[in-house]
Amino acid sequence: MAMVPHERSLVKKMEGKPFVLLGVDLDNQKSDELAAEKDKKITWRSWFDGKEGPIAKEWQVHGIPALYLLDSQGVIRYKWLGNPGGEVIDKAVEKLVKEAAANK
Amino acid sequence: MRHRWRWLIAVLALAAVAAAEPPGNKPAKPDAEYTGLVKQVQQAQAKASQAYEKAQGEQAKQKVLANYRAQLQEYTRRILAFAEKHPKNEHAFEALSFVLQLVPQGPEADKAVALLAKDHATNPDAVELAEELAQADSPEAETLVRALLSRNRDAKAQDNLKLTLADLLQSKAEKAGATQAQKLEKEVDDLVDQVAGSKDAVELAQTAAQAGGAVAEKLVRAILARSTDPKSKATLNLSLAQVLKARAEKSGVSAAEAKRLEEAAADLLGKLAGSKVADLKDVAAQAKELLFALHHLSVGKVALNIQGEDADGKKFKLKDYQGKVVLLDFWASW
Repeated sequence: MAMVPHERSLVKKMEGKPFVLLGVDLDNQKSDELAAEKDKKITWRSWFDGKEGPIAKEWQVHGIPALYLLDSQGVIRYKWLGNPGGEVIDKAVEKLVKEAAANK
Repeated sequence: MRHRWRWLIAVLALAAVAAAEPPGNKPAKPDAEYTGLVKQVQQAQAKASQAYEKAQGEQAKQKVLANYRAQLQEYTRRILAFAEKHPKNEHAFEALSFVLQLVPQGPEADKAVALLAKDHATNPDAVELAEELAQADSPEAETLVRALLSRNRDAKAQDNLKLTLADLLQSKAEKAGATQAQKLEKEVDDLVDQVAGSKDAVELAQTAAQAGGAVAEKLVRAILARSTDPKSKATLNLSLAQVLKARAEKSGVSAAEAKRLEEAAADLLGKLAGSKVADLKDVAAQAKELLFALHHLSVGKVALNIQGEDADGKKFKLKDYQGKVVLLDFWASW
């Protein structure tokens, strides 16, 4: 949750660019997710996976935050277990968005 | 420049200490002398960080730091005197680790290490402290580890200290010139060899492999070379695959090298995953999981599609966003 403010500004900065932030929510209940989204002004979509849900199981996620950055071809390019810091994320996102534009 | 940084870190470290209070010690019989000193340090720290914030300009800030540094030196001397005078006091060990936190290097830190070695070598917390210092890249780590090694004869402590020392020397070797590096690597190999002969070797290797690193790989290989029992061998091969996979994922590894490491790991895992021996069922299951991660969850692999619903029950899938860069965030409100 500590990452939310930065993520919000990243989403804003990337408006109109080929970028999207998607969440997988591991909360126990849907109402927890909805409350958090309202509280923290989370504007992006999340799959609700629940406690020990199928998505986290398949992706072998044992702790949060866990982040994957995929390029426009759907290839995993970065993987962070634990928050790497906003700067690291931004730099990687910008690089891949630039690549995506060049590939068009 | 670097020097100033370090003092600033000490200021910040103190804030953490102040928040945590002396850990693990009930106020049952607090030694007034020591607790008084801790309080004074905390006050000095609070004042210094306030003054630092307020100080205008580089010169004024430097002055605050110099002043704080002088105060800290005085306090650490008194804390050291306390620990030296009362080595059996319940706060003595804590006092010395506190000094190392306040002044990571220099004569006070040297003295703290000397006292730790003299009076606290058999304290299990000292082994842990040495490991923490090593992880934090403290300049005192090697001295403390070596001192404890020569004085703490407990088998487990010896194993852990040897591995910590091996890690320290390995990273030193990676920065050293060729001749020096060779010498250091030789010592690393000797240490690893000694641990490989210990009775807890397999367990130690498993733990080390999870963290990854060159020493872990050496250890796993050394134990593997001397084990004959099929179950230990399978467990060790699983650890080896883990180490190789971790190496492939490290930043700075070339694509070709990463590919080679991944293939070596996949090769080992493939054999383990296919095992039909009942005794190796757990190893086979773990190997399958790692193999899946290698094929679908590693950098360079096409991401698995995700299908599901949002909290409002609306269906959507990852493939809907094809053509876009996707930041996938596993999160929860807890």
